[in-house]
Amino acid sequence: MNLTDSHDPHDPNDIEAIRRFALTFFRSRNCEVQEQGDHLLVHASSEVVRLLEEPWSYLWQALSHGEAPPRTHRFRTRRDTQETDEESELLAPGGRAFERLLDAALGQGKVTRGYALVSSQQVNEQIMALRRRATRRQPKRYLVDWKVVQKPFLIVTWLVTFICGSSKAQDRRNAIDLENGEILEDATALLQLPVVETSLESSTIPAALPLQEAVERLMGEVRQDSQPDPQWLAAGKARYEAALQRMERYFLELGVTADDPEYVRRCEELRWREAPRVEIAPDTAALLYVPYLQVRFLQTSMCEEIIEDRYPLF
Amino acid sequence: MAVQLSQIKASTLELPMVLVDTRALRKTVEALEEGRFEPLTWWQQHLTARTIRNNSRAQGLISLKSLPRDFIPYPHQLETVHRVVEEMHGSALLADEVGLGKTIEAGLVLKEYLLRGLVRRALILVPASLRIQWARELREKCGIQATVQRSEWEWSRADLVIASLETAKREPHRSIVLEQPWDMVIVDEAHKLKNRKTQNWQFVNILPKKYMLLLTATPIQNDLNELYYLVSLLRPGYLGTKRHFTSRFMAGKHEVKDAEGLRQLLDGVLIRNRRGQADLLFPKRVVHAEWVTLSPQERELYQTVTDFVRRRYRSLRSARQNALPLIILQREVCSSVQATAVTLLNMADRTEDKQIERELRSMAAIAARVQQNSKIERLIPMLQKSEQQWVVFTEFRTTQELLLRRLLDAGIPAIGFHGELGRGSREWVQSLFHRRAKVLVSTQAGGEGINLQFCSHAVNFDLPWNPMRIEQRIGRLHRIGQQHDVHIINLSSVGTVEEKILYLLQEKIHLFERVIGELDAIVRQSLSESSFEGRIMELLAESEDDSEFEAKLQEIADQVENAKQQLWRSNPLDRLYSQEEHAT
Repeated sequence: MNLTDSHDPHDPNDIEAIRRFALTFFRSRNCEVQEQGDHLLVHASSEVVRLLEEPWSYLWQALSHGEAPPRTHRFRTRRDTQETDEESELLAPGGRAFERLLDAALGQGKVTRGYALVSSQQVNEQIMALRRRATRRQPKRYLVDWKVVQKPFLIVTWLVTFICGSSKAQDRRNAIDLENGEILEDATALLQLPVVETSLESSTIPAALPLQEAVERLMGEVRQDSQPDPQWLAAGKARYEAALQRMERYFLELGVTADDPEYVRRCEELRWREAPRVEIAPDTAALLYVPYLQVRFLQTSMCEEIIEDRYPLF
Repeated sequence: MAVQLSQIKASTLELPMVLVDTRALRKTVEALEEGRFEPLTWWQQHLTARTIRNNSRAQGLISLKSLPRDFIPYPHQLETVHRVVEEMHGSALLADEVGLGKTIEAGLVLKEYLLRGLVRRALILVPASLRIQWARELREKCGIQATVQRSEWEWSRADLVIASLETAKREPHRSIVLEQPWDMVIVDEAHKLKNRKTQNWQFVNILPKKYMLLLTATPIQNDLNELYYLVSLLRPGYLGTKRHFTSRFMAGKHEVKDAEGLRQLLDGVLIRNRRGQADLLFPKRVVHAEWVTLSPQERELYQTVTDFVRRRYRSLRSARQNALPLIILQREVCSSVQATAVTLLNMADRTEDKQIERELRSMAAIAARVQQNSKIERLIPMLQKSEQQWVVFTEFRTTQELLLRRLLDAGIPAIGFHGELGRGSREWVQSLFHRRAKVLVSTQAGGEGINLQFCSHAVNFDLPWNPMRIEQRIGRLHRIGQQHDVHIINLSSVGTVEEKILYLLQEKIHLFERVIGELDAIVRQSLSESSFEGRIMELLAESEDDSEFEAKLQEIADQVENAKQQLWRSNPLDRLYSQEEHAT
């Protein structure tokens, strides 16, 4: 499923994406979910009750000094689903419940750590390939030994918002190799790796780059990449300047000075609403350990030499 | 010395084009360094949620994707929301004519901004009597849960507050309200802000806000300056300086110069949907008069009371005394014997004039002898035959109680609705009628603040003499959301003043055919609303007989017609927005 494609509430792909998101969301928060055709029957845990029914839940807490009891919610993901005898709530962008789910999901999971998985088959295939290449080259090399090591990457996802009267948000995802400082402008390849929370490999390469510096370098790259389109900027600036001038003339006629609180406030309002700008904020960060094959070769020519090298396993 | 405006202009325009949220950046680094990691699944869900949200925000109006199944906004409402969001950037004067759903439009704009994350806190200022209705419309149509302000703490605790302007501008509320960082302010009935010297205008002007919607069907009531001050609240200087506006666009208070230029400029800040464009949205009004012949006893009572009222009214007016009870009595005698009897006895108890008291008690005795109520006898079989739900309107509580008793006796499930019900009870009765009862018997007071568009049949058991009140009654049913033609039955007794007034309203003023709200302005223009009843009573008292009364009523009809013409001539906004309409 590619969620970056267009989003249409009646598009079956989008509906399916929403359904899958909801299922994962509820199940990861200890809810029992039954799928009944187009409906989801969710036996909500106390945490989700609190999330979905904030006022009711807080009232319960205030009156009983305890957690709100679990409740059952009935949702549907299609607007036109025929109801039986029981009403259900639509899960769609803009809907109360779905927006709460999105808010909750966006309020959590901001910083994480993961270890990319590698299968023994991938490792064996890589070793075979290395062996073949090693013996074909001059001077010849022989694979002496190997091990899987974890190399640290930092992935940061950014929220880039273009504001000029209205606002449009995009997300950018880049990554940096914490060992050598190399930047991956697009972190898609890393994001597609299967990951787990606990490392299965014992050997981890230490990060050479401090985290603060790594984040700042990624931010610099996003900043560079988010320079606004000159035409968009010029048009926005012209509109903003004209509005500001009109306002200035209005206040001049009223005989106010620049430090007049009303004038200052109106300028701020106008600036907030109309001034063209790009706002960049980090959305999430993940420390991701990616498996590499660390090998030692014996090279035979004039003298024997041991050569060490590392190969990515993704 | 204060800095002059021109001195800061340059610095204001120097904008940092790319801004980085350094606080968020610092928090992210800290969490990483301190190893405050959250579960991987949460992080993956965060990324999915972000993609869904960004995508939904990037494609048109998000607010439309989750509307209630039974609510479909009208095309003009969608167009309005789109223009406010995309072209006017959240600051607009919504000046649709009455009844086209400005509340819905404002609600959808608010929802759109809430969903786009640009508005978190909003203040909605409405007339006190409409606060509950606003809350209900926002909840049911737009899925917005707003808090109706009842105490001081709600200003800061609730994110979406519905309050009355009168309360908000008064201490101790005022200071608290002005301290709040509102993202959006919505003002209903914004014509109350037409004068920049008033407290209302000044209060709204200094409210901290990023976006603002002003709602009024009449942005110009007296002169073009009102429009200037309303727009200045939204965007100071948008229409130029006052001097510039006057010289460029005003040729007198009501006359517009450079209409095309003004129209073009207003298109960037004002939206006015007209009934002409949206008339197809409304079902028809089907009006039918049921003529009832009074029994000899009823006729005797009617004639005696009318003669008394005529005589007494003349003498009271010449002595400059209050004649209102007589107007009520005259209207009651067209409604029910019971209502008439109660008033006659009350008046007899209060008067100090023995002769008058004797007359009143004698009339009460005639009332006591009346055996039947011809209107009710006509109404009951009509309701029994029908499978529809009905609203029966009456002006008087006594008649309402009588009707309820008689309907229940006849096995017709009926409930009452009147102005003394509290807000909660009103909602409850409305819902009860919707689900259970066949008939709602409503007094005039009950005609306001309740929407009955699920019902399409109404009976005017008695007629208010004020056309605006009739309009309010019909407006409860004949409004956006009504799916069927609205059938209105006027019960009228032959040979009574009510018959003449019905003729005036139905045949001369075409009251029942007009669309909601049109009459308001016409009546205001022709006769002040409060004096309409008084004027009719004067004509009744001055007339020696029915034919003279009828002729005098024709004068009122002519006045209304003149007012309609004059109103169109004197309203620059309507001229501005209806040139094509009138050209055709």
